[in-house]
Amino acid sequence: MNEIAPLANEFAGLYSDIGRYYTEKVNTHGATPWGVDWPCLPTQELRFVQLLRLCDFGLPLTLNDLGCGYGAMLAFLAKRHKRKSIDYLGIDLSAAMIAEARQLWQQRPNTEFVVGHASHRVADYSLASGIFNVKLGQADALWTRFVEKTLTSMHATSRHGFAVNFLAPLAEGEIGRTQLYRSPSRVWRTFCEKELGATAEVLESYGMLEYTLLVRRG
Amino acid sequence: MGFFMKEHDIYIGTMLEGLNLRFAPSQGKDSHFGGINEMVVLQKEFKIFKKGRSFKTSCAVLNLGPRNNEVKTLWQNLLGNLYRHGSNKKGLDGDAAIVSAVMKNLASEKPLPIFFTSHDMRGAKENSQVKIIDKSQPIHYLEQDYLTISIPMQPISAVKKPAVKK
Repeated sequence: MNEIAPLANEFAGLYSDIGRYYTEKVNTHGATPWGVDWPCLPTQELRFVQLLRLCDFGLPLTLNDLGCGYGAMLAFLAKRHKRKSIDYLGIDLSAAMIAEARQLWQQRPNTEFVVGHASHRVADYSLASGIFNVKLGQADALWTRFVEKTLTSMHATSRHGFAVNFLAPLAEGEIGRTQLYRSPSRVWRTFCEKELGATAEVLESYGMLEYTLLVRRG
Repeated sequence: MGFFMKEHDIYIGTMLEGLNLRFAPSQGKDSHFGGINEMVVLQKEFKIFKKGRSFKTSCAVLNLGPRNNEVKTLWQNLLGNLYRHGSNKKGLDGDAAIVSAVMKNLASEKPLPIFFTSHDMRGAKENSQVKIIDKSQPIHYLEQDYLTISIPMQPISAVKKPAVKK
């Protein structure tokens, strides 16, 4: 298996903290939704439903899954898109998570998992679920640059487009966990349109306190 | 100590609260939801609650329950026993009545949040039923209509029969 190049300096601490956080999760709860910090399988899969609205399953496709965890998306694809040909690359900061994923999916053809923060290949589509939510103690400015860099990288490694999700801001006066990152959809929609020159669609009426951004090449 | 939960009956309130949070009124803005609205979408997408599937199983799918394995097993035993109870819904046992009420509510035009609670099953015969109230305001400090589901419970001493005197 290929491993990704050394981490960029500015984000080395951030990547290390986030990787450690998810390593602790998977070591505690195993390859389960709790192991990737989601409350249950249905909510985990409802996010996949939204992200996968980007993809045209009419033809064989290649897919990059950034922050893939133990590869839960593959189980969902096997249920919902059983006979489709999908060449899959999963990338995650946590080596423990990737070890779980490789163990689970070793029999699946056209499947690769690597430890890292970005894809080493261009795929038809790139997806990322929940990777911008848990910022831990990172400064807001650094986290914003991390999101920008990640979106830019996903755009560069996606032939047709990419999809990500974000937690939405809480209602006025409500106080949430400070370790979570929340942002209005217009911020990242505007970024994708102006900085990346892409077309961005916001999905937000699917019952959760979050939104999904589908970003297509213009 | 409770019959099913034994020394872990102190967690029953926490588990009912877990259910009440997942089926709570939406707190978000118009465009962002959570609580009952999330459950509506999950039900529509995945048909989590369905006829022939126990309430216990649907709760397990939603990870609704304690993380401690021993407590989880006891709680699931409690939920898994609901089919032995009657209900105030004609022709339905306790488990089927809950599943039916949840399904109907989630599919309705204006789904209500669901309030889960318990009642003392001792005394009158109908106290042993699962009780479902289609629309009421069970929480005095919230001006909010709910579907209320009340599960019958009793302390373990109520089940133990006294020794027969010779």
